[in-house]
Amino acid sequence: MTASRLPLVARGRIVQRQTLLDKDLLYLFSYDANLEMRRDEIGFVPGGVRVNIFAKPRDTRVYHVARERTTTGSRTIQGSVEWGTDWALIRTDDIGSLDVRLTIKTDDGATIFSWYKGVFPSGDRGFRKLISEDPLVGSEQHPVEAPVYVTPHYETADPRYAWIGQHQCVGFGRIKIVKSLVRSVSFDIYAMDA
Amino acid sequence: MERATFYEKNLRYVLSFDADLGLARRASTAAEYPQRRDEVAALGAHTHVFDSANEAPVYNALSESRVLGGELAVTGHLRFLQERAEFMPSADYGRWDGRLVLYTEDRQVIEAKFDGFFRAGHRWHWVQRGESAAEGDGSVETKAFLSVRFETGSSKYKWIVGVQCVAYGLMGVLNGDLTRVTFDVYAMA
Repeated sequence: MTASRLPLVARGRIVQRQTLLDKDLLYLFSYDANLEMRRDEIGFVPGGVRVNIFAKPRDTRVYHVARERTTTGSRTIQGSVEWGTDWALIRTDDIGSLDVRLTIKTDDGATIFSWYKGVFPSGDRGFRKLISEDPLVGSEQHPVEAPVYVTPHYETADPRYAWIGQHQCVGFGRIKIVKSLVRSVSFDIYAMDA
Repeated sequence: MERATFYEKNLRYVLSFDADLGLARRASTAAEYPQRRDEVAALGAHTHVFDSANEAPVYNALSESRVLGGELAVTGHLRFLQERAEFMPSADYGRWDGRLVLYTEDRQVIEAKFDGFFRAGHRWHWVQRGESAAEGDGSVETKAFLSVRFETGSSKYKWIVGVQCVAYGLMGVLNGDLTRVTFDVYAMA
């Protein structure tokens, strides 16, 4: 029998830990998505600027960076992003707030739904730089790359990929900005596990 | 063209928190629900309604006064505004989501939203059936994995709004109710 690691309560107060709990990240897959130039420019709303950004259908790839076919015994996810939209809010406090829905179509015919929120730290005065027309951020020759962090969930009815539905996932990625527009996104997706 | 290298990934420690949800639940059955206005978000004021008996510690388990390379560490206490556990049918995991508010020792207010999963491996059948475990006080220890975002209007803690956080933790489940929970929160970087 192992001792409980849950918080102790002594005299009605919780005894605080002095060590950290186990943590780990398990790599699952990566994806690169080019984005459509067409986008819904909702414009200024309370707190920032809202824009809907769409993935370019069939111009994405879901793959395993190390080209492996299994992840801890389960089939790896390879395919393409069928469709996806980010209902993004570029906040006046220089934080990009992401709200994404997308579906992945695997090469062997499964459909996997994903939804997630995340953060794009647009940097000091990032809000003003992005909405300013002069100068535009990034160029075709010199696009600006910035980090982006997301926490996806996945759902599928396909039993071959049911394993992914029970994981809280995280994504470490990059966005590429050309002429103040997000041109592409790319992520490495991990399962939180310990 | 597919990448052949990974992006850098880091989880950087921010804070820890513990709570006895069973204690809070019992207290709330007899509590009055005061309403107070907390200036929280850059996007506007938020109003919180909660029971005042529900307090839990927020602390730095490494006894650091600074985190993320120089930001002021968050210590104080928190109150759950709302939390909901879903025991998924025909699955060996549950989902947990909710909101909480942190009150720092220097009297700042930080709001948080969280959601994620909890699992108990081979002990899940006790959780699913609402039974107690055959060991210890009967609590089934589950591992929990959360996505966490913070909001605050405080300039001291503005840094925490701009980071996507995750939390690794343990939650006790006794007879189908969450009891004691403990979490470490990390910033993705």
